[in-house]
Amino acid sequence: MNPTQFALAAAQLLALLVLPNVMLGLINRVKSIWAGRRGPRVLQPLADMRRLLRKQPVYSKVTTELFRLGPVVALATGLVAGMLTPMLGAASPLAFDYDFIAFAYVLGLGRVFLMLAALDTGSAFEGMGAAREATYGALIEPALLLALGALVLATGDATFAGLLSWSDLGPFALGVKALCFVVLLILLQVEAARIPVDDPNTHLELTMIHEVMILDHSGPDLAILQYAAGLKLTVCAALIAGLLNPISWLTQPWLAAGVALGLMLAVAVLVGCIESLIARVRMKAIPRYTAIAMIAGALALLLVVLRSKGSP
Amino acid sequence: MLLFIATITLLVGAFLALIARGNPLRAWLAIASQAVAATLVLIATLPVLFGAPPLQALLPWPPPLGDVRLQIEALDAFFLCFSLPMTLLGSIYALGYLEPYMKTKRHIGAHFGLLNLTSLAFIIIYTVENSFAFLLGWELAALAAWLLVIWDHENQKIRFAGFNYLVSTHMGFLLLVAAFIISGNQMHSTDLSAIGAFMREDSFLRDVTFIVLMTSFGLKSAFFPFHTWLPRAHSAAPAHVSALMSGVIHKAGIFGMIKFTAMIGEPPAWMGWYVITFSILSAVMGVLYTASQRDIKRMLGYSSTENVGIAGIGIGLGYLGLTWHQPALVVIGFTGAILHVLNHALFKCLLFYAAGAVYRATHTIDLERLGGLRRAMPQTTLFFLVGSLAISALPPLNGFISEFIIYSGLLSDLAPTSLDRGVLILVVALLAFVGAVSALAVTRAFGVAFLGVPRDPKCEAHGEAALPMRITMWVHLIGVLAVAALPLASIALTQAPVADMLRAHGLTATAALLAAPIQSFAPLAWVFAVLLVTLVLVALLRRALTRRHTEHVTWGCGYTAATPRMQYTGSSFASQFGNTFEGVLVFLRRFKLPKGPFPERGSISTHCVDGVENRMFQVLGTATDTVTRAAERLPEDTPMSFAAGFVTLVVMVAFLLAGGSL
Repeated sequence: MNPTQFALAAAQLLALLVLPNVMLGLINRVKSIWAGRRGPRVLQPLADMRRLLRKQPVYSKVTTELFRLGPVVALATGLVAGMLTPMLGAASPLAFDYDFIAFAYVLGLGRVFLMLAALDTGSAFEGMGAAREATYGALIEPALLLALGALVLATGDATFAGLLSWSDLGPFALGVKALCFVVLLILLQVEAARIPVDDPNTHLELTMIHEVMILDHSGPDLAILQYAAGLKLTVCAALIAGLLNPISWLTQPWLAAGVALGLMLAVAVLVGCIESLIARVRMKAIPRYTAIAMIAGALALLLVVLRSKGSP
Repeated sequence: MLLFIATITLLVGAFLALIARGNPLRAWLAIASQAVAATLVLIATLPVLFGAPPLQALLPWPPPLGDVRLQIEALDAFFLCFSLPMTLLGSIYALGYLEPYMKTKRHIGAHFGLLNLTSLAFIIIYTVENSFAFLLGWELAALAAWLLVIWDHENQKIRFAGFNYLVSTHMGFLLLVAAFIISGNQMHSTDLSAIGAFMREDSFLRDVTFIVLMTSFGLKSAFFPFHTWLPRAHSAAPAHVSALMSGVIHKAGIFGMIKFTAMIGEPPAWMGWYVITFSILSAVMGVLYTASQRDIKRMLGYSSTENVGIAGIGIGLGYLGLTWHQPALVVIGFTGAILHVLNHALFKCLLFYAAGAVYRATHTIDLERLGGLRRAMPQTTLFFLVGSLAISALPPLNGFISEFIIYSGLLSDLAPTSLDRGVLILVVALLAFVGAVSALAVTRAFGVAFLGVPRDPKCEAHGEAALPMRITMWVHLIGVLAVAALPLASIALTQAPVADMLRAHGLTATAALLAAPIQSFAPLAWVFAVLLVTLVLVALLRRALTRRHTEHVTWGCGYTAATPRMQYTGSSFASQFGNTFEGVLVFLRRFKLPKGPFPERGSISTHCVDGVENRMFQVLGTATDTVTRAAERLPEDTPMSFAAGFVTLVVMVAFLLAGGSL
């Protein structure tokens, strides 16, 4: 590992600690501007987190240690997934062949523990949230792997960083990248619980997914979970940024990192715009919405297969 | 030699278990004999697993069997090394599970004797190189398993499940006999090496034999759509029998697949695709059914179909590697498959044992009635949790290791054309789906049964499982953790069988080649380490932040009269997922809705029944009807049917005479 890579890895860790709150604040700011309000400061989520951290948690008498373990595993898996993500335009600190499989499964571990913490409370509402999270999570997984598989086939690379930094800018590559962009955007909406899949601001428990799972968490636990949700958002945005980044990290690492950071913030703005302009889909229609991602992934794979069949 | 002693020990143990006085003594005699046998087998076979030359012997036997050749190669050694100790563990578990019967008049020795015979069947299946003797071992395992399943034979449902299993397993047996007859007829020998010679020749009969063999092994290992006997048998049998059937006995099917692969020289590409198609179909269908079962053991049964599917994908990859002359792919495929067999045996038995502990404590394994078992059974909760996480292949547990190896094979650039790679990537996507749904299924089972509060006061547990049961579960738990903690060592266990496989196909098994899966796995060990360290750090941070806390009831969203029956149930948890896959899953809903201004009590019950079995019985039902109707019409036109029958008879006799004169 040369000094630049080391510095980039350190910068990535720093970004993982700072960015989640910035991203959430930025989305909220964009939404309030669309709504014609000035809105809270961009760093408001950080202030909310500080406030929550000072509070004393309340635990239900029904809960066991799994309830307390939920936030821990959610945060730890979010961080490890973040370290596996090529975030600042560079290879991730833990890059290796097929690291994206580990990425998907590490996130899966976090999801399972979040669901278990929800079921631990014995509340029907939280069980409902867990069931929804499990269902939609299962439906988005194949789409992600189809898109990444298409990229594996197109680039001949096997690391996350290699897949995303596909430097080809021809019409064929752009087509595949556009399809992968669709997949990753829907992945972000499902994983980070954003509109049109889930609405983080809804006030009716029956319509929630992520929020209803963490109804009983309070104080520092809630702060950790909100931060972990922001972390997932950041990681998914980093994937999109990596895909769109035109600068190669092999030649100009720092410029690539800067552009990636800018693109991630742009993704946050995009998410804010989508949330302001689109209503969320009905709960029953979410499987069909995830099917769009699956079809996009399958199309990307088909394109790559057909293309490389034509030119051996 | 040691194996002969082991065999005789097992037989003597079974015999003593039958004639000894007092149930505890009978059980202990059987267990002691199994312990001796397992130790002997381990001493004899472990060196083979670590690269010693295969053990060989010739057993003289009078006709019609002829001399039986015995041989223990690395693959046989691998299966022997986990099958016998696990059967022993199952027998120890039975000591606790059958405790209520110990004091009764019921003769428990027969049950333990049958467990001994199961071990004996393993020794036969994994050592003999003669088709007759192989069939003998196969049949012994099947019959022993059947008799073990119908422990509660007074219950009609259980007798039906047992009979169902018996019929299915014998269909598989007949197919195996058919395959051996075809090859024996061609080669005039019952030795398995003759089958090998037959399988190496590219002929139409060889292809037929291959499909027949695969169907037979598929029936044994419960591949979709040959799985219908499995959920019934697993939910009917005592927990240790379900565990042994699922984790150990039916691995013989996978063993058969791998063993007979080694005999086919260079398989044509369609064989590899055939195996992969069936395997991914099993994995997907198995996991869909897993997600919607009410009965925990039924759910675990379907999960076996899923997991043999995953192992089957590895085998299929190995085939394709042989076809494409890619030794690296052969190594990855078979390493993944063999390791997954071991992993599955470890965590599936653990889960079945934990389910059995739940059954002993609450007298039910119906998810709709259980709940809040964590308080009474903390250790069983731990066992089920770790088993659940391992079976859904979550890092850093052992299931992830074998699945990652299979993933790396599917995604590798060793396939010749991009079309092949594209299809393999489709398999990757389906496998990811299987993983995610499996996580859903076990979270549901664990969360509903162990967390929350008890749903039904009649099914509350009071206290932990009996000591022998816990010992067995601890050993399995340690096994799961050991494979997870020492991934490189566990992959090394599979090296000798895989090296044999390469040599059987004339490929050189270089150390570098065999180490490929280990190398691809080394960085993952880092990820595991980072994950564990991060977990500990975050846990410490959280502890520092939440020094004090207050307790209250669960927030009911403003509703204050919540009762335990209002918790989310297993059915409600699976409902949306089930609705998404309504085309595949068959739900049986019975409900009486409350009607009118003064409604009476309403009720609703949901069952997810097996689609294949449903259809099978429908077809059988209509077929019986058709035959009945035809038979009813018969008397009306007697002259015609009589004439038709006469003509048929004449033709048949004519054929027979013609055949005789040829």
